[in-house]
Amino acid sequence: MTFTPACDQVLELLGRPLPEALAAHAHGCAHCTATLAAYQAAEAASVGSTPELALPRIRAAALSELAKQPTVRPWWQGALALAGFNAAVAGVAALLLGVQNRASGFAVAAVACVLLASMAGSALLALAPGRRPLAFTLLGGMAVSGVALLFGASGFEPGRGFLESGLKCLVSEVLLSVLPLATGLFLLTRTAPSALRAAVLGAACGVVGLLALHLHCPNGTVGHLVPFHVLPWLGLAVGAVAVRALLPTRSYAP
Amino acid sequence: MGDSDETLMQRFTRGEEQAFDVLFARYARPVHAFLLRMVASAALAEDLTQATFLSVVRGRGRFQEGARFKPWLYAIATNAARDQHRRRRPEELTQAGELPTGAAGEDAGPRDLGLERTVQRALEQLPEAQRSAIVLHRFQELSFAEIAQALGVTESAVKVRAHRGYERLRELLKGLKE
Repeated sequence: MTFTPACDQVLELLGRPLPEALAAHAHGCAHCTATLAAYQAAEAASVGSTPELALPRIRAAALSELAKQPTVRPWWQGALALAGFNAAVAGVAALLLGVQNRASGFAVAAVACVLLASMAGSALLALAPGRRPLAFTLLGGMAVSGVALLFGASGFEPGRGFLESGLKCLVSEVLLSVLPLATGLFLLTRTAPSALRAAVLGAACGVVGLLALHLHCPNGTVGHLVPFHVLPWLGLAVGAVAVRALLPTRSYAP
Repeated sequence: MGDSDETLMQRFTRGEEQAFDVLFARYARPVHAFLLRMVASAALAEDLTQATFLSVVRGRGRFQEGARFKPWLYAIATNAARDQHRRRRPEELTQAGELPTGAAGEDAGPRDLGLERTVQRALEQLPEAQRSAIVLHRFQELSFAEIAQALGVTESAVKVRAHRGYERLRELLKGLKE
């Protein structure tokens, strides 16, 4: 089924007199004939008036909310606070756990910078209003961070048990990311539900654990990093989508 | 002539409660009518109208300078209706996964209720994406550019939805005119 530019013009002029050329097109076009007929028929679908009592109640509820929150909080305040909080949690975790990555200092710092940038950028975009390139941010951020992590890996194998040390990393990464994720999801309830936003936010907060482990974990083999560092991070992004779907929404603003 | 919606919204974000009152007076009824067509339940439409204006208050920090107010407001109302539909328990939906029909006209006045209900039911049978495009265009009189902003899609996508929606509506109402 294709619609011509003339069909689009008819659509835009619905409810108004059509110029002669468009009227001739509409007369011979099955799409436009149907569109015009449906537009006229829909006239009958008027709805009852808003009950008079409901509007004062709705207005009073809105004004009561305004009294509770008299000052405007720009969206970026929450987003910057989240990015700062995430960086602080990752920093404290790195200080407490120590840096044991065996890669060169430059490689460790470069990867840490990529992860920090990905964390801050994703947090800001996840909470920013309006249409944003969220899918691009999610895929791009994850791809760049994942590739940086694997290319900057030391390749060092400390010789501990594969599963035992791996599970320690997995659990640590999830635990370190729980508080940032909870904070981010709370902020996300101030905007309309969106699975993509939740995934981007989950990825941003999951970087906290990823970054702390990048600095701390001495195991630099791909066989350890992929299943116990990268996959739990992807799992946190998916988990954020599932949890957000269960949370109530405080504001439906886009 | 009064202030534009955008000027009022700017004044509201600066803390002027009166500006909110003017916006509420302008849009409470149209938003309620829109939601009534979207959810087909008077009680639910009232709740969602309240959720919409609470969101305007809570989310006013997300209104961007230079943006149009009307598409922003209808985006909020559409999001509220979608979320309500998503959260509904399966037993509250019909077998087709839609809301029960026939409730939209429950507080209607002395009009042709049979015809009105038939058209409303036909609207309710449209997929949500087509229904929101048609309701915003036909009844709320938003331009396609404004609908695109409200629904977060491109203008050409909205036009395709509207074309298909009107055609489907025509099919559903065929028996009415013949």
